[in-house]
Amino acid sequence: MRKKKKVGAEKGTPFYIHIFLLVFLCLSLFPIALLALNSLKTNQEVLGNPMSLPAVPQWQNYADVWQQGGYSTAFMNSMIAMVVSIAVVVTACGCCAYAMTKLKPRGSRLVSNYFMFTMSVSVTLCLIPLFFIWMKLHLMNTLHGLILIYIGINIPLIVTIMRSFFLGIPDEILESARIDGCGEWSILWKIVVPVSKPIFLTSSLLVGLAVWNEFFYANSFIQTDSLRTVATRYLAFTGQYSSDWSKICTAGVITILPMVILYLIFQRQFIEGLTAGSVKG
Amino acid sequence: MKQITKRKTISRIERKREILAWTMILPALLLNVFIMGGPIVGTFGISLTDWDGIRAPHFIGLDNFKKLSLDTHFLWAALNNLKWAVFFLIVPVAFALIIAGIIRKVKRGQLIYRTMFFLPYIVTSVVAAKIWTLLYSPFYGITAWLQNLGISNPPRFLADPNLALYSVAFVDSWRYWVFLMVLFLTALSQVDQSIEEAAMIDGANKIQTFIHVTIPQIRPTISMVLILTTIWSVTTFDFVYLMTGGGPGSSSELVSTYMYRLALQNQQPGYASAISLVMVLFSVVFMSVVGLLRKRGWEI
Repeated sequence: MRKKKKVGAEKGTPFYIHIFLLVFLCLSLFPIALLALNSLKTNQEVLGNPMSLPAVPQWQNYADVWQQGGYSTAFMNSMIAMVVSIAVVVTACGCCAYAMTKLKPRGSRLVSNYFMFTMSVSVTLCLIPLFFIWMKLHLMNTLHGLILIYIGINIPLIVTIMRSFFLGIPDEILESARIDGCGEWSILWKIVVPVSKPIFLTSSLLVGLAVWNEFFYANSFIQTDSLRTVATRYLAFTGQYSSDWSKICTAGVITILPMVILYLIFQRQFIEGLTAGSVKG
Repeated sequence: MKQITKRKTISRIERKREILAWTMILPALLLNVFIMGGPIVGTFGISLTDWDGIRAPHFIGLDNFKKLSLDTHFLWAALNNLKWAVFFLIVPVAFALIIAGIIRKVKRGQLIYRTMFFLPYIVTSVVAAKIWTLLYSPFYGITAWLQNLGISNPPRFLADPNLALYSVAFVDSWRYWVFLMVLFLTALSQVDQSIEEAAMIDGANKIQTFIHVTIPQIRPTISMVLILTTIWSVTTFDFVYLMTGGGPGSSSELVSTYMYRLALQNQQPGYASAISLVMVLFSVVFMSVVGLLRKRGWEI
C-alpha cells in the first residue's frame, strides 16, 4: 500500500496542484499582461474597459510613443550609464574582492565590515549631502554625475557576491602560480578571472538591472529631459500624458521590455545573484 | 645571521604584498566612501545644524532631535512605517512560504514556475506603480469592476485614507513576495526529506508535516527574511512616493517621503538630516540587538 503511494508520488505532481499554481501565477502576472494588452489599444478602448481585448492591435502606439517620449535619447543615456557602471564596478570590485579574500592584508576585516554596513543602509539616506556636494562640484544635472553615484552605490553588493565566490577558489592553485613566479596581477588576470566568468556575468547583470530600474537619484538629480534615463523618462512622460492610458501602457512596455528579455535569457543568473546578496548580508 | 636576512626579505616581500593588496582594495573602497560612507557621516554633521540649504549653517546641537520628538507629523509617519512593517512581515512572508512549499513538491516544471513567478521583481517600480494606479482607479479599475458586479460601495483603494497605505503596501509586496519565495525555495531544497517522510509514516498530514517538521528546518532563512524585511520597511520610499505622494492628506506618509519633502522642497536639509540619521540609527541598533541576541545563544 505504502509502496504504491510512493510510486504514485514520484510519477508526477497531482493535477490540482498545477491548476492551483497556474491560477495563482496568472493572478500574479495579470498586471503585466494588462500593461501589454492596453499598450495595443486606443485610449477610448482602455477607458471603456481596461480588461477587454484590442479590437485592432494598435502597433502604431509604439512608434508614436517612441517618438513623443524621446526614447532614442533615453535608451542611449541608460545604455551609457549601464556600460560605464558595469565596467567600473566589476573591475574595481573584482580587484577588491580578490585582495580581500586571497591577499588578506591587515585591516581587510574592517573593510568587509564597512561594506556590510553600507549594504544594509538604504541609499535614500545619502541624498542630502550628495545633493549639496553635487551642486558644489557642478555634477548636478549631468549624466556623468549620476553614473558616479550608480558606481558608488552598487559596490557593496558586488564586492560581497564576488568575495563569496572567490572564497571557493582553492588557494593551492594560486600558491603554485606564485612559486612559478607569477605576480598577483597576472594571477588575478590569468587564473582568477577565467574561472570566475559566471560571477562576472552575474555581477554585470545585477548592476545593469539596478541602473536601468533606478529612479530615486535619476529623478532628484536630473532635470533636463535629454539627460534622463529610461525609468525617469517614463515618469516625465506619464506626467505629460497623464490622461492617455494607452500611451502610458505603451511607454511602460518599452521601459520594461529590455530587462524582461534579458531576464528570460539569463534567469538563473538574475535569480541567484539577486538572492545571494541578501543571504550573505 | 643567515636566518635574520631571510626573515627580513620575507617581511619586505610581505610588506610589498600588503601595499599591492591595498592598491587593489582602495578604488572600490574610496568610490563607495565618496558616495555612501562620507555622506552618511555628513548627514550626522548636517543634522546638528539649522541649515536651510542656502545660507551658512549654524550649529544648534541636538535641537533638531528635540524638535523631532515633538513633531506629530513625524510620529504619524513613523507609525505608518510600523504598520507597513507589520503588513510586510505577514502578507508577503505567508504567501512566499505557502507557494514555495507547494512548488517544492513539483517535480517537472519547477524551474519554469520559479522563473515566471519571479518576473514582477524585474519590473521597475516606476512602471509597476503606474499599472497598479490604473488597476486601483475608481473609474476604470477594480473599483469600477466591482461596481459593475453590483457591489454598491466598493473600496476606493488610493482615495480612502484608511486604505491608501495598505493598498500601496500590497503593490510593493506584489513585487517583494516572489523574492522571498525564491529564498525559501532555495532553503527548502536543502531540507532533509527523510524526516518528513518519517513524520508522514507516523500519521501526520501534509500541512502538519510542513508546519512542524519542514518549517523548523528552514528557521535560519525565515529569521533572516524577517530581519531584512524589518530593516527595509524603515526606509521604504518608492511606491508611496510614486502612487500617493503620502496622501490623501498625510494618511500614507512615511518617514522617508517626509524626509524627502523636507530636504528638497521645504528647504530644511538640517532637519531632514536628523530624520535620515534616525533611520540609519534604527538599522544599526536593530542589527546590533540581533547580533547580541545571537551571541547570547538565541537562535535567530
